Amino acid sequence: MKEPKSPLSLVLGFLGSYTLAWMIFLVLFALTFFGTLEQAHASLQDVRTKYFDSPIFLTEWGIPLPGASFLLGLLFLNLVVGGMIRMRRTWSRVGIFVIHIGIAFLLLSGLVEGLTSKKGSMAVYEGETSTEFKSYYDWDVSILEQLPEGRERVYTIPYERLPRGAKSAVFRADGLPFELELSGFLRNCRPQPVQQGSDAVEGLVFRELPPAEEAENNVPGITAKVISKDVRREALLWGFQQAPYATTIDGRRFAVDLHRRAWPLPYSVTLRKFTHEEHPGTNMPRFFSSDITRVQNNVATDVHISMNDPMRHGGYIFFQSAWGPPNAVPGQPLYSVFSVVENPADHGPLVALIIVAIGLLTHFIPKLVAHVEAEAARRRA
Amino acid sequence: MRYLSFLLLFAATASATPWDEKTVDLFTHLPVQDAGRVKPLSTVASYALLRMNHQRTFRDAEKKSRSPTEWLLEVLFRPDEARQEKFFLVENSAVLDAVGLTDVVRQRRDRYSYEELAPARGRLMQLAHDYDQIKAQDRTPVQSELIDLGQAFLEFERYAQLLDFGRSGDVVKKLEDGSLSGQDAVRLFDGSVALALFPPVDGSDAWLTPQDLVSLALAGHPPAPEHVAMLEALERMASSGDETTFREAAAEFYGRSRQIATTRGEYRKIPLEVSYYKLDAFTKGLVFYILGFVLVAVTWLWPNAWLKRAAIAATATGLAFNATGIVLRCILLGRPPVLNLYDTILFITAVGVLSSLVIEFINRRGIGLAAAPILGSLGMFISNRFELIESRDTLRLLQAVLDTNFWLATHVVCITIGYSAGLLASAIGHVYVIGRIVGLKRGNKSFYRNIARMVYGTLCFALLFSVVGTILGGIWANYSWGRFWGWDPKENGALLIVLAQLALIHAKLDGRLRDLGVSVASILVGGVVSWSWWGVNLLGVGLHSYGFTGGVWTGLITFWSIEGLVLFATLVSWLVSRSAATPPESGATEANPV
Amino acid sequence: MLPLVLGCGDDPKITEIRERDATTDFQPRGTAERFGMMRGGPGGNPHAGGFGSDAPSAAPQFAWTTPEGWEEKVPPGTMRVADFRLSKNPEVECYLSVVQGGIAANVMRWRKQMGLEPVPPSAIAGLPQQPFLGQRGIFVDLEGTFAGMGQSAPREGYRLLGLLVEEPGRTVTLKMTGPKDAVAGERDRFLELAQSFRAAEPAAAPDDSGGEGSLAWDAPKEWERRPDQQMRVVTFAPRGATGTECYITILGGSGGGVEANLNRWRQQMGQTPLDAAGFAALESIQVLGRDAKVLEVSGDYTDMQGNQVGSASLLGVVCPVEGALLTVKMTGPKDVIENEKDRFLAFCRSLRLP
Repeated sequence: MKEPKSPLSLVLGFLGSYTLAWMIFLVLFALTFFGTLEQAHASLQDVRTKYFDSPIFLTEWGIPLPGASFLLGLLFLNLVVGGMIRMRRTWSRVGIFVIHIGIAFLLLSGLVEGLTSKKGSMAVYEGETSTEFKSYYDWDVSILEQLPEGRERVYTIPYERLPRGAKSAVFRADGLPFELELSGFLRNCRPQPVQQGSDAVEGLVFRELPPAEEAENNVPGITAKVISKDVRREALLWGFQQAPYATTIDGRRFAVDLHRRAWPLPYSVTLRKFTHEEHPGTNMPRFFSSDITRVQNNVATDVHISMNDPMRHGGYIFFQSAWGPPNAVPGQPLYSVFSVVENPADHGPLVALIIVAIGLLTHFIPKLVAHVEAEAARRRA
Repeated sequence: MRYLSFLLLFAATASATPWDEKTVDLFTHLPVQDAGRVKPLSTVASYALLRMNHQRTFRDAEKKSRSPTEWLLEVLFRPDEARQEKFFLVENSAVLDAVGLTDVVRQRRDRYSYEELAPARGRLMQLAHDYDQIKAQDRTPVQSELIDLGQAFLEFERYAQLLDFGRSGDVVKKLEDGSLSGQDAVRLFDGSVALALFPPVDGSDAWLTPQDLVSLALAGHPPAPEHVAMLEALERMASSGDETTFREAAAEFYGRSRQIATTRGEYRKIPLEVSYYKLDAFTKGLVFYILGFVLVAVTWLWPNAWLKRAAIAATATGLAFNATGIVLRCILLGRPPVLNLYDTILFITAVGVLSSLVIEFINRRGIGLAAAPILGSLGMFISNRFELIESRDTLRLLQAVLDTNFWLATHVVCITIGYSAGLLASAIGHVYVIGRIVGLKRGNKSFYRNIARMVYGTLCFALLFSVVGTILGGIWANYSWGRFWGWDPKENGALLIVLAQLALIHAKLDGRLRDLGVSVASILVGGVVSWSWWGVNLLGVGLHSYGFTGGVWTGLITFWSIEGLVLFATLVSWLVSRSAATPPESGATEANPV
Repeated sequence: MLPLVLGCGDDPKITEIRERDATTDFQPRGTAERFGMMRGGPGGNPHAGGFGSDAPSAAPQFAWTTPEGWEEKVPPGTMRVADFRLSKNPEVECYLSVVQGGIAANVMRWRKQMGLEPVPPSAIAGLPQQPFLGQRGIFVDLEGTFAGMGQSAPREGYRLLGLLVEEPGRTVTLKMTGPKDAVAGERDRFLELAQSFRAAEPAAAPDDSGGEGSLAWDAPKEWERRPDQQMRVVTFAPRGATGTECYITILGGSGGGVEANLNRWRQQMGQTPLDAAGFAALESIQVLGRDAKVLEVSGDYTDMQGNQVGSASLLGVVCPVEGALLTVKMTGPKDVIENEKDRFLAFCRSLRLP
């Protein structure tokens, strides 16, 4: 007769069990499989958001699945409890132990990346300079107030708080002489002139477009109303607008802008020259690269950035990712686009890989040797 | 080898063609630029003929086999004769019915000449265009074939009109002295675009077609003297009926082209590429693998040590051809072995065969020896089919994003070895389940025990490479594009393999899977590997999806259907054996481990 | 995520507030101008928040009326600015693009696509003309075997209708292709569409950094030129004057119309809008060969920054020109404006397109 187990050890036992492990793997398998299929119809970013962030969600085919973040968290617990804490520590299992450390490390660095990393892009024309990079997917609304001596105050309404669908929302802040009402958010749209129509602002309305194939190419639009006790002004804000909506209230000058979330860099980047080449007689790119000058604390450094050869500096990594304008005619000025990443866990995967590889080799090589010896012995017998 | 093929060539062509072997040899080695790469004309010709005739040679009116270069010479220099030759293969005569050519149909699958098909050209182009609007995976086989035929037709026309200017009388001279009017120049050279025959002399990258030369001339950049001489040589070849004149002009054209290409460093690998295609390593590999399999099969009936040695020798020879082909391809492109889908087939086959032979060397149980030639034959057969389906040069240049030998040599090679080992595990798993179904070595428990251990061992080997390869891919992405995991379909494909293998291994450790279970699961994992290898490419999305091919669907679905049948039969036989055996201790089967 | 959980989703308070060195342009502008619908050609503007990839970065520079029985498509890529299909036969396609290379080169390209021999450039001068973008477009009507871009196989029995106008640095083309019969039935609607196209940017738009562009004038010698400003073609003021200025703008399209502009000015001066009789009573002068109304109004002036200026006057002239609206406006203290009126009118009359 076995001794009855305490509830805690039952829970721990399940958390650390092989059963939980293979179940998680199977569900992750289903998740990955459906997530891949769903990409045939939806943009990668949308699928990723759906499959990772929701605690539970429905696939395109109506199958409910838990989200990947949740599963990976559970896998981490399973790994730590079953594969590290409760595992019998014998020499023959040291390899397995090390593999589990490596995978746990990989999951942790994934978590750190997910929580802290910033990923965006910087587009800069030849001869121009930039000191910030911009988010791919997040568009904030900012109210800006002009202050004396070349300063300005920025009130930011983050993307997550913008009203979606038919909803509208009113925002206010201490010190603002008006409220800002936002409504009619469209994820991808462009302005269109109309002859008549009640929704038109200065003869323009937003026309909704289907979501872009790549989510970063969506250009949102939103309608803003500036409301104070005297005025009620309406403006269209568009992602591609070249200037914000500017207005004066109580003699103070304000602007309202819809823009990609921007993160400042601790240095400036000037594009000196962009180079690209195609395989002769084809449209297939052979290589493209940018020569930039980085200026930090009045120290200028020339750097060459190309595909597979990024610039790492000051916690940021610059990857050559694209260029434009598309269909540029010879002689037209070009701009270069960098993916910019700030990721404290940047080298995490490499460290994890080394640990996992050591573990795998420690475990499997002795097994293989033993097997070969046993087979040889069998044949001799 | 080459000497021998000359003899054969000579024997075959002595009377039938005007192309003497020397001329054919010159054109075989003539460098041209195609899809960004400088390659021998014979390579271009062989893929063009493959697209039209579905094989690399064709039989002329006298039933003599002719090489792709001879074929292209005929099309370029004697287009009227070429239009009479039958090298448009129509697999299904419904295609001809569709374009209203019912009266020329001879049999369901047959070859037709350009002249026979020409009356339906308009209808063919119209339908080809209409069907082209249909998504590739939604087309019927007849629609697909019709599109291919339409394209082959146009391609033939492009080659046939390449030298039209040379048949119009002293055009080059007029071009040189400026007496050719702009309109005439545009008219005469308008269709002269099929081949970039002229290596640039100004250090630029792109080779030039005759039309490029003339466009530049009209824009105020007269052709270089070398190019004028080459253009004249082409004109002489195209217009002269005299064999000696032709040969001299051909020699001059080739000599100048080779000289410029050599200066540019682009001729160096041309002879090697010609030898690569002459060697035809993968067809020879296929022959030896099949021989190996036949010999193995014979040893099953009549066990014999010598036969077994012969089987090993044949399989090893097949592997040697397989590997030689891969090495030549690496040298030709100066790259690691796996760059595109075609390469993966060759490499996976070689690794699978090698692993099987190693397994055989370790345990001498005959399983590895059986698996090796089977995998080898299947792989070589698939590579052959795939090359035909694609019908384009398999030695291709890389997109800028993939241009890094280090990651191609590490990540891609690891992943492909993982695929190979996963498929090998599945193959051995098949031995287990099919053996059980057909009652092979019934009652020999240790036989099955050992097969299951081989399956499991191979899976662990596969897991090692899949895990390392997958993480390496993430690191490549992280260090090159700033993201470790992008959830891209191809990445997910690799992850699916890893997850499936991890689930299998942990379920076995959990006691849920025993020998049969592991074997069945390995077959399922094999299905996952085939999905990652081929299936994700059919989704048509993703950074890595390097090849979409309609015909692949059919192959993949056939493969999965067969696997489904095998698994179904296994289930049935398992149910039968379970009900036959009286359950002595029902407690033991509580968790239903299989 | 977090704010939702905590129920902050409805909290109207903006919490993220900081100060920084000013980078924002606080100049008030019209919506169309802010959206880049007045200036700029195709191609992305990375500063406007895009990455310049396949996003619809080419802000629409054109407005149009889609003919009946046609469908408007989202243009694929940036080559096409507007894209249409015939509803009943989507094989018939029509699109507007802004391209390089002049009229002759584009006609040659089209001829080639239709499998036709090139013609000498002189033949192009003889082509018929049809209204397009408020200008005389060169009209091309070709039949042949179509092998255009993206076509895998040539299509026989095709017809191509095309219109081209050349503008500084670019050529705007409208092209329709399809099977002969189907295109023949749509010819009128094609021309109708062509006629309905109007540029948000006037053909004669001066580039705002260069100042005068293609517009010329004789400025009174008592005036001096002031620094160029956004949206203005040119700014003048009486020598040494502060608070008085005169400037020219060109608004795209109808620019809201003559009446609306005049009434807007009246409102700026705190006056009520004019009715039809009021308009008819306004004085007219000849500007750019056309009749243009002259508005003179006094009152309390509220400038675009919202500042109040007491006892001010405004002189304004609005003149519709091809595809655009030209305005000349002078504001300042009432007595100064009264003095400047003759010079203002002379300045307006002196305007010309070279």
